[in-house]
Amino acid sequence: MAISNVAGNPGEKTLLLGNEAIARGFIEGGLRVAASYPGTPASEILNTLINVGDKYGIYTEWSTNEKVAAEVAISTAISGLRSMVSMKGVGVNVASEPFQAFSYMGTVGGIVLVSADDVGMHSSHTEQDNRFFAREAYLPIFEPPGPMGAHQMAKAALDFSEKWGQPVMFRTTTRIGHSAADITLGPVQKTKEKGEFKRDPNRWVNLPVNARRMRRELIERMEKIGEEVESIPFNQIVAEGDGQFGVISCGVTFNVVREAFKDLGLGDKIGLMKIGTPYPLPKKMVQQFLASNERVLIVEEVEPFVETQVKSLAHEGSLSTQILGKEHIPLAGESGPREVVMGLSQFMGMEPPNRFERADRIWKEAQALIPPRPPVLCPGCGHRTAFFAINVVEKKLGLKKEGGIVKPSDIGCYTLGYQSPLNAVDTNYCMGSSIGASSGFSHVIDNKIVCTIGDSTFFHSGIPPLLNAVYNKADINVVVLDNSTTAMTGFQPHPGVGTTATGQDTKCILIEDVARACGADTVDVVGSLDLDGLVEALEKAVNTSGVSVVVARQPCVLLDVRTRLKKGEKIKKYQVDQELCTKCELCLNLFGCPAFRKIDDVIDVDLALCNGCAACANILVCPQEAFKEVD
Amino acid sequence: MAVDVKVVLAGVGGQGAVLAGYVLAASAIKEGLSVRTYGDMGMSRRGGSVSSFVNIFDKEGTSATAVGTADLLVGLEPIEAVRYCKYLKEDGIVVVNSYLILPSTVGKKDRAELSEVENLLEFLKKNFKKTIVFDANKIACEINSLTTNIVMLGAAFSTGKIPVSTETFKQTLRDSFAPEIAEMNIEAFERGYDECNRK
Repeated sequence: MAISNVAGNPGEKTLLLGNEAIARGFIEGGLRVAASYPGTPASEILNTLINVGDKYGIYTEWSTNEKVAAEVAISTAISGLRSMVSMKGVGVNVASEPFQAFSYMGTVGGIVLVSADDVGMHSSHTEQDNRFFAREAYLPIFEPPGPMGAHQMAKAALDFSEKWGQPVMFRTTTRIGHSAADITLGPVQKTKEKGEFKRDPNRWVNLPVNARRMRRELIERMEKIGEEVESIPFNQIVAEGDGQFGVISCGVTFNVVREAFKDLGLGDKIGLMKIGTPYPLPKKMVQQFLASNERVLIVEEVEPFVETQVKSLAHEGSLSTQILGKEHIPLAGESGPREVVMGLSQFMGMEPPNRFERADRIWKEAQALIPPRPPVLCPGCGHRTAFFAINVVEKKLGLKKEGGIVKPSDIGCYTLGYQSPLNAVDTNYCMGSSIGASSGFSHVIDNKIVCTIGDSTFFHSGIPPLLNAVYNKADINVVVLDNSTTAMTGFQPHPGVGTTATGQDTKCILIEDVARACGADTVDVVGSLDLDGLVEALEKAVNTSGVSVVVARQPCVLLDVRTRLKKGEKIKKYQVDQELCTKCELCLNLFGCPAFRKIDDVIDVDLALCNGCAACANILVCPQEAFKEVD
Repeated sequence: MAVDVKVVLAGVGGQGAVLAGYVLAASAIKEGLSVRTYGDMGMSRRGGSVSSFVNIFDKEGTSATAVGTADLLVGLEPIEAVRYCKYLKEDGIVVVNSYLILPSTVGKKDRAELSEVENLLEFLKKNFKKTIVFDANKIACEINSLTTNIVMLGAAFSTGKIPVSTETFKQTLRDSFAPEIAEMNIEAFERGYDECNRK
């Protein structure tokens, strides 16, 4: 984004997205290697580092998954250089194992695991609070209050990790990563190009004999770190208050709490403590704050992570302070201005402000007027045609009567095949789950099974379950929806694209080759917009026992149209010939391209939205063949 | 006087609500002000509901906008304007594009009823101090259909609520984009401004 200047000079003030601010903080901290797998809300961290990596001598890569990214970053740190590995919150599940082990070994160079937790589940399937993972793996946590704090903390986290020889978690949330603020750039610490691997098998080989020793060393290391966090500026008693009420706030809620104090006119009556390292907590500082307040409210999003620790500290210190938290602050969803003002007024025994009544009335009336607008597959998207073809085959082979085709799917744009009118996604658990789930179904139900998985997801975690399906004799059909990019997160490349993160040419690994190597019984490749070809391939697959793979390939329409327009090509659009249209609405009710519309009883195409895929010209979408190319 | 202005932009994924929010925020920084924005990303590509919150201030502020506190709502599409109007103050101003985009997920029985733009506009007019309505798509399409977002920002500036000069905003466009794209957007901005300046 040319609007922000991540690579600007020290002292320059620029608009940075939270994720750009994190990236800049790492640059200022002398980062050498950055690895990631794309996932909202983390993607922009590596996107940013890729764009400016050359200037600062940073090696960047999109790894095939989060676990591999973690291993890449860990080797950098062991070689004495600084690294970061970023991922969406649920990605930490995938990266978990290497970090569990590496935490015992400790690090040489600074290393930060960025967990971008999706509080509010804007685009994730769980709201999991990865601070618990960090605690379990003994990773100190840095949790910033906003983009500005994130900028300062990212650098500090690298320094801290290197100083204490311990990997660190940097926990951010969607609200921070996707907020932008005016940020003043700091000086950049230059990184060395080459590290040094100092051979030390007693440390870098985690045989039980070494691990048992290292676990004891880890516990000692963490005790010292516990002392250190008493004096770092991210933990602070901000206001003493009058001794009656106090608030301990962690992470993104800090600024919201301050606004709520203003809103409720609390002024300096109430004490306030800010926590930037929820693990380990600055024990003495917390106990001091508890001792000087009669009642304390813990404000943090999602789980009571700080709250339970503070309660335990009160017990240890024999303090009688009343400690409240999740009684007043929600467990689910974000704690925004409203939730915090409501929680705080309950805690203080005050009347909440009444402006919410008006907003609630307006929202109630508004909802009656407007339809939901969920995200949908784009006009011209090849995934729509593929899902439509699966539905056509289900009908054509008379399978609907037998309970229909069971359609497990996976994580990516194509999960939107769930939406009406396609309704072609029956299950989805996690990355790569479509194929494993299908194997499981094939052993216990009689329905035909057709699962869908995207190209990037296939490389991420689709290969082991495909091998499993072949090995364990499953009878399934796998449609790989290959749009030759990681589309939903902003077009990152993967092993099937032929370019690296920085745009260098590399080997292009074809999904059909991998499928054959995995032992699939049949493998076909069809264009995703070739509706007749898709129907034919799917029909064959469904009628073949064993593991059938159909690769449905069509570049992501957004990228494709962009590239073609740049080359000066014209995009051919399609419009409804009103003479032929019988208003049967099958196009709207079965295919549902967002460019189709019906206004005043006329069905036509919004040409501003049409991307010219031509699928609507197929007789399967319109029996009248009323969609015609526009001159 | 202290500056503290909250703007909400709401639209359909692909219309450029988030990008417009950034350009607005960058222009405020150029005037020495502070900004906090929050924009939807990720699972809201083409077709989904998308919003961008831009808070401009000179002392302290946050990126979180509470319901009932925004000064200006810029609706790039009327359904989305209604969806996000709960954030607006009672004496806030709505600037709304009258061009309706009906979600493709709407079933056949609701299609006709939901296509009535007038109901949506009446609702906004009834609940807020001032509602400015115009067809921004028509203007944008005369320039380039991708400029709807900047046409709407032009209209937003014409309310006088935004504490940034139009000259600074145009300069931000020049500094952020290639010359031909910047000029196209400056034209869009001026057309939106002029269209609504009289309303």
